[in-house]
Amino acid sequence: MAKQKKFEKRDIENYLRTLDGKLKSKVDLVLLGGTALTITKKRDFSLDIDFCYKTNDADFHGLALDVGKELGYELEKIDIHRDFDIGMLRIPDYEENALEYKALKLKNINLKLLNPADIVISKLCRSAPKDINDIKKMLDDKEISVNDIRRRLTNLMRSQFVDYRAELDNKVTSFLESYAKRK
Amino acid sequence: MADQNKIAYLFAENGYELTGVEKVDLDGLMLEEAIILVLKNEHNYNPRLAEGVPLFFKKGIILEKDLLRLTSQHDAWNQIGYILDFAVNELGLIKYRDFLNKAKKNKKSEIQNMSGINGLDDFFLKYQKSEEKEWNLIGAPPYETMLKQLRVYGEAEKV
Repeated sequence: MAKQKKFEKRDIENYLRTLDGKLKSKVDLVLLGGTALTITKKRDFSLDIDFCYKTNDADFHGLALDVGKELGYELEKIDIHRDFDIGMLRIPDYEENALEYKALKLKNINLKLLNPADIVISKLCRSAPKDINDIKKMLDDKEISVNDIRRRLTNLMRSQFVDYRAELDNKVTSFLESYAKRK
Repeated sequence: MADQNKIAYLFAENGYELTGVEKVDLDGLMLEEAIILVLKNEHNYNPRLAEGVPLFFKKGIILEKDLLRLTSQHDAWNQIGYILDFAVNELGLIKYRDFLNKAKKNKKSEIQNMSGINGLDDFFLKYQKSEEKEWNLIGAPPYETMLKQLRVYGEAEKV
C-alpha cells in the first residue's frame, strides 16, 4: 500500500468513521490545527491527523493508532494527545470552547473542532511560514477577527507558565501589529 | 495555467506531492529553476513548497551544475545557502559542502523574504532564528518543518 503523505477531508472522515465503528464507549474528540481546517475545507490537506481526546477507556489511545495502521497510515501521522498537552502552550478550557462538528454522523465520538482563536494562538506558538499563512488566510476570510484573538489571548494568559507568558504575548501581539500595518 | 501551479506540478512530478495540482505543460521549466523561483519568492509562492526543497537534495535528483549556474544567475546565494546549510549540517549530505562554501562566499548582507507572505516581513524579522541570521533571511522554513517533510516522505528518521 502506498504511503499516505497528505490527508484530505475524505481521509480524515474515513479515519474517524472507522474509529467510531470500533469504539465500545463514548469519547470526546477535538480536532486540532490543520486537521480542523482541512475537514471544514479551509485547507486542501493536512500532513497528519491531529487531535486531543478525553475518555475513561484506557484502550482508546492504542485503538486510535491501530485504526491508522489498519488504513495504511504511518503511526507518526496519527498525532494524538490525551487532553491538550502540546508543547509549552496551556489551553485548559480548549474543549469547552471547541465548536461542535455535526456534518459527520458518528455514534460514539463526540466530535468538535478547536476554536479558531485557539488554532491561531497554537499556530503562532510555532510561527512557521505555513502557520502564519494559515492565520493570515483565516483573518482575510473573516473566519476570525483580531479582537477575537486578543480576547482569547488575555483569557489564556493566566493559565500559562510564568516563564512562557512574555514569549506568547510577544508573538501574538507582534503578529497582530504586523497584520494591521499590512492592511 | 498560473506559474505557481506549474511549479507545484513540477515539484509533485519529482516526488513532493501537493493535492489539487493538475498535470500541466511545463514549457521546459527545470526542477532546479523551479527551486530557485520558489526560494526567491518572486511570485508569492506557497510556503509549503519552500519547506519541501531539501527533499530533492536528499533524494539525490538535483543537477548540481545547473543549480549552481541558476543560483549565480538569479543571485540566490542566501536562499540556496540556507537550504544547503541544512542539507550538509543537519542531513549529513557532505557532497554539497563545496556548493555551500560558494554560497557562503557569495551571500549578500541584505535581508530577503522567503516566506511568500507579503506584508508580514517585520513579524518574521522579530522572530528571526539564528540560522536565518547567518544567511540574512527572514521567513525561511524552520528546520523543524523541513525535517517534518522529510519524515513524511520517508527520507529522515523521526527526530
